[in-house]
Amino acid sequence: MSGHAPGTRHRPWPDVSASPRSPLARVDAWTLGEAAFDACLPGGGLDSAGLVELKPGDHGDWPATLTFALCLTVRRQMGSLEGEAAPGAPRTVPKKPVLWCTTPRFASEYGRLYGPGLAGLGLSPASLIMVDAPRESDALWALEEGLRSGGIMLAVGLLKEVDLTPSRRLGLAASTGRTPGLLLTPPSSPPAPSASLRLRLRRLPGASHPLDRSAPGAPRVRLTLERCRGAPPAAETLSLDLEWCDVTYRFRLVADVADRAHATPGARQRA
Amino acid sequence: MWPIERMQRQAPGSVPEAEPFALVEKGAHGLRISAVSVVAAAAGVAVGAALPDVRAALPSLVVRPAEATRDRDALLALAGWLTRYGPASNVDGPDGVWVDVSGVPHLFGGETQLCADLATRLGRLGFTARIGFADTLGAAHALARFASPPPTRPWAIAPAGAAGTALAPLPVAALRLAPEATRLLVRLGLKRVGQLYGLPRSALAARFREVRQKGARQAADIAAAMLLLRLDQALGVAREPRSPLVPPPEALSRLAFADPLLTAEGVERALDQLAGMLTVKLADQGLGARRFRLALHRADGTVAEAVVGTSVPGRDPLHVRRLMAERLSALDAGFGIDVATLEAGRLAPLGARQIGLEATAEADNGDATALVDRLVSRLGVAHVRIWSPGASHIPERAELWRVAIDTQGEAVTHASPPPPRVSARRPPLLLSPPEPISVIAEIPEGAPQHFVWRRLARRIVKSEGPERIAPEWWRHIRSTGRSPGTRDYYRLEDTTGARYWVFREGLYSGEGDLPEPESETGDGCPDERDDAPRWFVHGVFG
Repeated sequence: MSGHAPGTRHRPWPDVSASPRSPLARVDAWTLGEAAFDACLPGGGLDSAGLVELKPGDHGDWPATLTFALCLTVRRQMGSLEGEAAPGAPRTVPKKPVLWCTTPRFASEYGRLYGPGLAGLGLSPASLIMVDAPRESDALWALEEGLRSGGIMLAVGLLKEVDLTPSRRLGLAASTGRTPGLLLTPPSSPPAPSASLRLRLRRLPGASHPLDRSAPGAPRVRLTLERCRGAPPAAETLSLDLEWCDVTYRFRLVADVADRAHATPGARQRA
Repeated sequence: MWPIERMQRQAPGSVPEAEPFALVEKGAHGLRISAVSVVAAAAGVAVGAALPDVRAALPSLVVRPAEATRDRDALLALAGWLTRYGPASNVDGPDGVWVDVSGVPHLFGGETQLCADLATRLGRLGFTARIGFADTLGAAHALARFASPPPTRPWAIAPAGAAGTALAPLPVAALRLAPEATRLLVRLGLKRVGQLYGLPRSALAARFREVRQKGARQAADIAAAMLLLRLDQALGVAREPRSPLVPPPEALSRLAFADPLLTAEGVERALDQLAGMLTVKLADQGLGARRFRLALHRADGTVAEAVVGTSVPGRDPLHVRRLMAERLSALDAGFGIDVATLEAGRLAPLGARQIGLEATAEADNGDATALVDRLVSRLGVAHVRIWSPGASHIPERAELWRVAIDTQGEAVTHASPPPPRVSARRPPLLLSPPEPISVIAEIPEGAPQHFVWRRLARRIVKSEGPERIAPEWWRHIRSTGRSPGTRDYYRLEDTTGARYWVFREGLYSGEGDLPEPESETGDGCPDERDDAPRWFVHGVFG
């Protein structure tokens, strides 16, 4: 540091708003990591102070939807980390935990979250606060508390249905606490009214393993943008095939060539 | 009096009112009287007399066997009830209880009013109370048993610092001495406690030795030392350790109300005040608490309580209030609440914290623990869980979702290390327990091509495996006698893109299995069903 310029001597406080850790700096970006999708969203990413609703295409798509939600959680953690640590720095446990709110129904139907499997996706299971709410209303309450507190990075809720009032409350809590909420609802339930973004997921035949064509590789989903507040009309019909890369922890577009992976199983077996 | 009144209260009608009544217990020389009723005492029946002698003099005496255990239990319960007067209380001898009321009497309007209140309440329960009130346990014990207050005011109060004056006229037996030592003192002409005050202490031991004569020098010394200790304890010169029935709370705030509280708003306001008072106390000592207990003493003598725990030590009154707010609705004010206390437990050092100008990550983390506390407080401990790794290679044992607030007192942090990356893929969703599937078109030692799970047939197009996981035989050998089979795990993908993690338990044709004891005794027809490997779905991938 050189000597003070005469004009700056009597400035009593450092300029807090210019500090890189101030809330004004864009540290909590929440993107999918795939420009083709992120560019369609207003602000270039998911709303980090609003509600996102995820819906499976049918009941068989639930595992894919849950996994997609977990990957979005990883993306959320990455976004928060990139502001603090340089890219490429060793991944540490994120400071803020993630609230994962479920009801016993889901665990018996699709299984419970499995720590080693989450670690495989890039998500540290130690950063989850798992709430197993006995009733739907308790789950809504826990989500609202979590969103409002501002002490968590993301609140994920597996819900049967979100009515107008709970949905408005959750949306309000999310904007109060500057915390995003991710709602996973069944395929045929009415959409949550206050979600700023609604995505529908359908599973696709997965990629082949790069080293072994008969082995399953990266999972693939077809993502349809059903609703996006503030997006250009062209985005309303957006539909993309994405796969999750567990090395770079981002989504990427499925290359067209890869679609032929299982088209000719007989030929593959002979090969 | 206690055993008889206790019996009358627990089994009304068991004590005759008109006839003399006594309880007897077995002694070394036959049955002896252990307690007498008022009528019997007036007729001259003394405690300790042999039953035949008393019977000869008073044939109308009704006797029953004493119930020492029940007396003791009832006395313990009474000691617990006494905590409404002070935080620490316990049983004192076979027929007494003590309670520490330091700093309490002003809440009743004074010491006399407190004693009157206590005597009235005990009277309503059917007990004749004799109350001694003094600076020390020893002095209170002596006053309660040997002072002779009027029956309408059955309490003897020694003013602060005046225990010596109050004790002086009492017999030496009041000092809680062994009966032998009491007799010795009487033989020496020392009948009143006051006579002991001026005696040179060393001379007392010498006199004891003289009188005992039998050369039991050591016993005499001990008796003399004991006498001096009891005297010092009664006068407050020596400390006397007390062991209260319920450990007194480590920090406590208390509010008494002139008019009983009836409304929820009143209770909330009282809670605010209590939490504020408690915070000041804890902050003064640099402490935080992980357990808070709100006790509402109702006017009819019952107590409603709510306990909340926190995951990290804290003393923020707002936080305590928020946690308690979930519980307040479940508390019933009954006929009104006249005393409310808030206790802090499981204290831990907690320094003052600097609040920064910026919103720092540490401050945010504090919010997360507060959130966990609130979730636990409303949903229950079992419903809020955090992850910790398990030391096992069996998939379902490789992790543990444990409760977020540890009830054993260990602070739970969210900063546990990330799990080790397993080289093989694991599913993010695990079914527990694994669900059996029926495999069609089985290839020995290969991945299934078709299987039926939840009544849906699935055709497999991609597969990877096996990953062989051997059982932990040391766990099962004791419970079932045989270890479960080796598991071969496969990752499968069906035509629709759904992915499964299935395993086959057991090996084909029993290869590598331990020989079963039965198989050695000649098996002409091995049972295919038992040995056949079974298939399960253990998890699903996205």
